[in-house]
Amino acid sequence: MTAPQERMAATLAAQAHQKETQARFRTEVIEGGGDYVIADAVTPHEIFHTLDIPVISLAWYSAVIAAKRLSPYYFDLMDRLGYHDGLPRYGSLPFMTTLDGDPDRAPYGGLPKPMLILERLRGDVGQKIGEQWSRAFGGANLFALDSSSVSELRPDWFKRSQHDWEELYETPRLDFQVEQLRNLIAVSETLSHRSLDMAEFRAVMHRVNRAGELVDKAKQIIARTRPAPVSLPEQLTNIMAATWSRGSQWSIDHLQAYCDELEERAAKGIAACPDERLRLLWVNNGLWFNTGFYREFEEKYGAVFVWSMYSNFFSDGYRKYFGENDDPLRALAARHISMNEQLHLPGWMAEWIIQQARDYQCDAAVMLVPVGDRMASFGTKLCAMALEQAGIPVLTLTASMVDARLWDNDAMIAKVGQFLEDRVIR
Amino acid sequence: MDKTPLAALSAAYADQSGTARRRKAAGERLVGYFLNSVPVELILAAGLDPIRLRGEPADRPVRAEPYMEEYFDGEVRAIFEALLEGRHALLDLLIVPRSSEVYLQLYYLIREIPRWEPEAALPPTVLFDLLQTPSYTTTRYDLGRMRALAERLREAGGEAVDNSRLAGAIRTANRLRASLCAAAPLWRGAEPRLSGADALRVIGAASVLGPAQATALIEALVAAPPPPLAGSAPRLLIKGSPQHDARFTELVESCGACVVAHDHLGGDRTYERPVSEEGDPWEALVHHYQREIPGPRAYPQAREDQRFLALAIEAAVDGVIIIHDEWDDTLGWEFPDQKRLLDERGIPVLFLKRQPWFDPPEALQREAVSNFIASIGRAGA
Repeated sequence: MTAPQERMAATLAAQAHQKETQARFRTEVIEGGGDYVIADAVTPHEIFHTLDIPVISLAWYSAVIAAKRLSPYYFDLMDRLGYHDGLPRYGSLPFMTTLDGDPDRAPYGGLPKPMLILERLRGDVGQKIGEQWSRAFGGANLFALDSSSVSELRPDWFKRSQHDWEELYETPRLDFQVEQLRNLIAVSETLSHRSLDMAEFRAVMHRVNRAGELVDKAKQIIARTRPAPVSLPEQLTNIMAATWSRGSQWSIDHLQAYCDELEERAAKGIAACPDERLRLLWVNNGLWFNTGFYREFEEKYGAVFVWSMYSNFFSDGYRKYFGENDDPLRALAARHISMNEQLHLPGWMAEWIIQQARDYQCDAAVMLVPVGDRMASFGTKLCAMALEQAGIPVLTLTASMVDARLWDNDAMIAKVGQFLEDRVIR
Repeated sequence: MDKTPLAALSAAYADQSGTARRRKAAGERLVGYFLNSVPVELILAAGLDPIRLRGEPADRPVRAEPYMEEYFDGEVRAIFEALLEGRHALLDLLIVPRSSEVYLQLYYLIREIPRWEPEAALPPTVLFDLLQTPSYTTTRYDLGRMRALAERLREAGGEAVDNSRLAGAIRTANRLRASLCAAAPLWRGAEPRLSGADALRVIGAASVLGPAQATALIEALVAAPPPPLAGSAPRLLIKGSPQHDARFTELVESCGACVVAHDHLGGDRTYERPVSEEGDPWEALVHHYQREIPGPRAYPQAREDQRFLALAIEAAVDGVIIIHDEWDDTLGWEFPDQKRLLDERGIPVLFLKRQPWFDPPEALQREAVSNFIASIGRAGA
């Protein structure tokens, strides 16, 4: 029997880095009035990282609001302002902090007027929130990256997306995305009075690929090691910190340290759950307001969540290799052009997750079907069918990703427990 | 005895499948499409025959249920059911526009089905990746998509589309739009002669029938209109989620109102603007579909709201009913601004949010609408 897990040093370092980033944001932006950008998660933050302009990711800020259990307040505000209760919750929380206008309540003192709001128009909503948010800031600049759609879901995207992305994502779409990125760079340079350094941009792009390789290395360690050397919440902390800082040397150094520590723990038999008997996938978006839920099934069932889509999407989805004579902007275009589609469209979603189930030696999957964010619910039925067909039992939990008001923790724990007893434990 | 133009249009609207079968039997090569964002001009220029498809409330999702989440718009679920039932297998091609996220998702589901049901009789299906960001970069992308669609139509048996053919098709489609503009006073005028439900049928039939037949029937309707409707009911505009079928309009009118305008993807703003007949026809077509048609992705919102207000003012409405689908995640963002604009002009508004498309709560809807109509009456007294 191994000793119970202690929190990884890498996790503490990731949290410290997040605090440093927040401190920098407070000093440079809130107090110093410096430029920063509010950006959709699936947008080219790399451009701003190269320009050394802080980026606040919508998904990250939403998750922080949810983790601080502030979402009920902002959803009540949404209701009072006339936005009906069926509207998307995940992306609207940061917007609501601006409409609320109370910096004492909002995380990190709220968001001041940004240099730019960057929306990617994947669904039909981004332009509507973006326009109103811009107005709420008193006329912030809004840049909308339109979202072209792939005509054919060619198989095995995760095997082809790193080198064979030109055919996978279709040339007209990439041409369009490159043009949009050029426009974005021009706007950003004009607004910030900075210039995008081509050599630094190329280096940022290479560093993202290197970070992706390290995330893949971490995956290999976790996937082959039983019991798993890290809990899912700690995986998320480490990988997401690197994701939000992608392109930095810190992300590479951090992921290297994370991998080294995973290797060491694997060698010593240090485990998230020493009595691991079952391995589970968490499918679809994260349960950000209650990441402790992932660990509720370890003591009674020895059931450990070892994978969520954040575990290694950085390695499979972000890496885009390009030659020394190639335009790195085209690789950047390829990175985001079908990112959500790979995670949510029926064919692409299922084939990747089935592969992860096999790689991570998983016995079953728990799938979150989000309410109040139907975009993230699309594709879940066919994905569940495909997983079942592949011999992986699936439990679907219908819940909000961010609204704690709609979550009955005891009932959900009971539901997962029943699923494990009925369909997984042999 | 021959049907009146209104009866002929209503019959074509009511039986879209029968109309499609008859057109197919007459030798037409049918290209089906959804919504108002597929360029029928291209289909016509290729020598093919467009038919707009809508969901039928009778098509409850049975075969569709295992694949499609309940959070899709009800009408899209009905369309998917009809597709799985083979109802649209007679089409030479089906075009799905990207102008709405749920229809984009529908496209990917259609493409996924052969893996699960190899025997499903689905028509060949193509995505039309129209984007509506109002920018030059997007215009260039849309131009490429427009030409790619023309090539796909040629592969489906159509002719190659050149400028001359396209210009001719634009004139044909504009003539149909003009006929609807000429007919609009029949339901929007000071003395309405058509109910709002009949207006929806006329607008809908215009794209279920071929353009020549539809134009002829609508022009005949304008030439010999029915008599004015009796009474002086409050004049209402219905806005929100697409109301391709007349159920809700009929319910509103049965409560004592006269629906004089519709602002949704089956309504009055779908025909109000012609495609320019000047200059390069490809660029004119792109400009129209990228920037001039209403839709959930069209923006800036302020311009869309001004067009909505212009319609409400031109129709001299006494009130507006905004109805959103049960799982709407888009239009609700517009409501607070739209309510403020209406309030500023003293136009009362009833908001029916999250309304199921299948089995709508008719008693509750009737109560809300009746109370709204009564409140308008009291205010006007």
